[in-house]
Amino acid sequence: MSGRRRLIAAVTFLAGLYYFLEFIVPPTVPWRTVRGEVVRVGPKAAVLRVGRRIKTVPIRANTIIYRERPTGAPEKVDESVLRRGDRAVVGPTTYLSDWVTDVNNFFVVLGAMAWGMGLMSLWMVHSANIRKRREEWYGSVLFFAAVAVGVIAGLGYGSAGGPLKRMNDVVVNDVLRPMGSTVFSLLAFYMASAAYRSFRLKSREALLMMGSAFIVMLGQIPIGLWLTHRLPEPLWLPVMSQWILYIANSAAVRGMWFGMMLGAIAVGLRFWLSLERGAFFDAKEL
Amino acid sequence: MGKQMLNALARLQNIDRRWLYLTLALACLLPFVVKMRLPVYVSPETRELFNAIDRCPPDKVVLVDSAWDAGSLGENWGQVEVVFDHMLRRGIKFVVISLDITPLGPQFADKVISKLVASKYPNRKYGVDWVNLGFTKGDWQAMQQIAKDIRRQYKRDSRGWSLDDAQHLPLMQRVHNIDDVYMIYSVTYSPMENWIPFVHGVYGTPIGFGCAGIQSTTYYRYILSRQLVGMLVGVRGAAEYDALLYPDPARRTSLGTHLIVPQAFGHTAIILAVVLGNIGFFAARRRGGSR
Amino acid sequence: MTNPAPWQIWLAALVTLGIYSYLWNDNRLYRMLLNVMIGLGVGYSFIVIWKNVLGPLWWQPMVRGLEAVAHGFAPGSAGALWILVGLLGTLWYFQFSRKYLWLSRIVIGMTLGAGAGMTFKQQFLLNAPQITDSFRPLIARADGSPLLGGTSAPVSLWMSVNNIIFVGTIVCVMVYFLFSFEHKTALVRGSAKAGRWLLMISFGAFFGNTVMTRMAVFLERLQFLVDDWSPIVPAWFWALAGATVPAGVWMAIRRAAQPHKNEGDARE
Repeated sequence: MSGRRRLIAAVTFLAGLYYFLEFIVPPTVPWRTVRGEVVRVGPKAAVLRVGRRIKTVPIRANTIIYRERPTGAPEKVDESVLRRGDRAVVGPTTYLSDWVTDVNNFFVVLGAMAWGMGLMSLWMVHSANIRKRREEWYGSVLFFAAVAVGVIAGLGYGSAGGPLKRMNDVVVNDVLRPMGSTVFSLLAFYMASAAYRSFRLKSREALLMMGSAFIVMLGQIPIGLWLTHRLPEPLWLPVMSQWILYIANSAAVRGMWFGMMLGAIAVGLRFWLSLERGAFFDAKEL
Repeated sequence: MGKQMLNALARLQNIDRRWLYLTLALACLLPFVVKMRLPVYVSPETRELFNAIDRCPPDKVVLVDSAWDAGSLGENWGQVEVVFDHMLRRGIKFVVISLDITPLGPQFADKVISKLVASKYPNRKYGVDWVNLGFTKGDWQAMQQIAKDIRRQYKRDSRGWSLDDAQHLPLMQRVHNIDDVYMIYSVTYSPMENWIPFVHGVYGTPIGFGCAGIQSTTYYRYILSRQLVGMLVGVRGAAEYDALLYPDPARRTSLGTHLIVPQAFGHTAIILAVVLGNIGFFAARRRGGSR
Repeated sequence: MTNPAPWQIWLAALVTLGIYSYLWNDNRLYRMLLNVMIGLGVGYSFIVIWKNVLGPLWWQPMVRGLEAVAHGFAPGSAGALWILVGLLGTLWYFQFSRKYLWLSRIVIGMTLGAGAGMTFKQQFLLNAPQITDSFRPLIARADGSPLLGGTSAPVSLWMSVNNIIFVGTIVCVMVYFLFSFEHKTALVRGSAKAGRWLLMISFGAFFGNTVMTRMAVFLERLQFLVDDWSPIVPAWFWALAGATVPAGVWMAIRRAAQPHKNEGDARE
């Protein structure tokens, strides 16, 4: 493995190691942690009932206290919040969970730093179009003009008023929003056309799929209830549709997700340990 | 069946797509021109969400993650509209956030609330009855931050006021962390499942989703395991919730109610198109020259 | 919030109809509008992400930290360390360099590693309740509790049948997807076949919901055109459209019907 690959593998492993340890390692040092029911609490010590014994646990600067929530999940609290009868875990911290917020912020900011890449990529493509006078290069000129307008309009984001806010409202409400919606709405037509051309009853599986699709489609709309409301309730299309969604579909999706869970853990391990292979990971530049 | 008839039927599988588009558009247009009402069946997941929000105690708020924009407006607008209507009517306080997905989320939420306040609830005030904290990023990290201390994720609201500004945001003076939140309602095209393990799993806070129909099939399993308290599915979810809010159909004004009948016609048009295609397919196969 | 002015409604309607022109055929107007949409979206998001994320979470803490350092390492100087995150973040942009592409792999690796590390916790927390909920009583009472050790509710045939179907579907679907062992025995083959059939029902449900979602987006646009735009359209516009659009369509159909000029249905 080259030096570069080792460096990339090392940072990949370290980045994942923190979260893995934070999940695996308890938040308090196991052999010095006391878990029990609170008897009384003071600023310097907590008294817990552990089975039949009473234990006094000193509270120091590095001591953390977890109170058990009704869900069973632990909640980090100060000693002043504890009450008699609470189930608590007291012990010296392993520090891993204390850093979660800062590590989280680090990755949030690091990820957000990539936000200029989309603009850069488009910039390169469209500037090449203009430079080389490719077909419909004026579309690229329009693109740059639109970027400038979008940036100026964005300056009005969050403003209380003024011309920039007005521009922001017009760009978002009267241009971006309608255009975005309309582009997505083209899919309705493509779906209709695709269903018309390719949904053919060539097998029993196709019949099952089509039957289920028709029941769900009709069950989701008032026409389904209107068509079947004179039948007994279990035969109403909405009721049958709900049964398909809650029982048949949920069970099948759950089966698929269990398989995907195993796959996600396996792939996660491969990424974390840099065992993954493929064009991206085996690139010659590394 | 005569050969001429079979030939005619076989042509049904070769209709130009533009006739299909026109038929679909006209089928959807008809209910806008000829107003009609059809009965709405309220599904269990909608009813559970309605009941959950209705039970919100007066000292807590509902956290609404409204992270949608133009792409899913047809479904999500109605889903937030009916829930905002419910909360404004009952005086349930709520805090709007927009997590990841799109920076336009807060603006759309503002627009929905402004319309409701202007038309039905002029006595409801920003900062007192609701606050919009705006857009933020961070996925599960941000969820954990918000749960532990909302001020670690948000310093100001979407209008620029500090969260500690008691004059402009009196509501935020009693909202600090997950203990002050009664439930979370996440509305977007595909709500982030991380709400479930990182908030519900740890703190037990009820979670409800408002999602596109296409995404709902993967979320029903969470309702069965009670990890989700309820869900609004697409346009019909909004129409169903509206039916629970307003038993009198004449009083229902949400986008979901407006769109459910045209939706019904659209579905019917697509079903007919599939049936026609299959008639043509079987006719061609019988004739001896299938596609 | 004020109602939009007529010119704003016209602007929204024209861009909507311009994009719908694609349904007739791919055309220049549509492509130009797409360029405008992408440009506006990219430019707008650029500023909004700075205002919402990078500004408050990175720039401001960093500047405060540097100011504290400049004041002789006053409290809060640790914020200056955010400058290192900024330097690390610039490594993303080496994606555009052939020579130094490997530098961008560092941040990609860090992000992948963090995501992979989180996967264990996330998958466990997300799916553990799903796994426990999947163990349902095959003979159940009306409230879902088991026959033995359950509540006093009466035994329910409907609940029991549903639970049997539920558990059976999960098992059959998992057997269908597990390729680690050969499907040799009749039981395994039968389960896999049943799993495939049950998946077809699920895919049908997926299709039904997909249609609902796609239709909803179109209906919102249609509602805008009908309820917001058409009332402000003057009568002469409708007359002009009524005269030119059918004529244009008829001419296009005639042109398409001529064999030597037939472009075919290339888009689908």
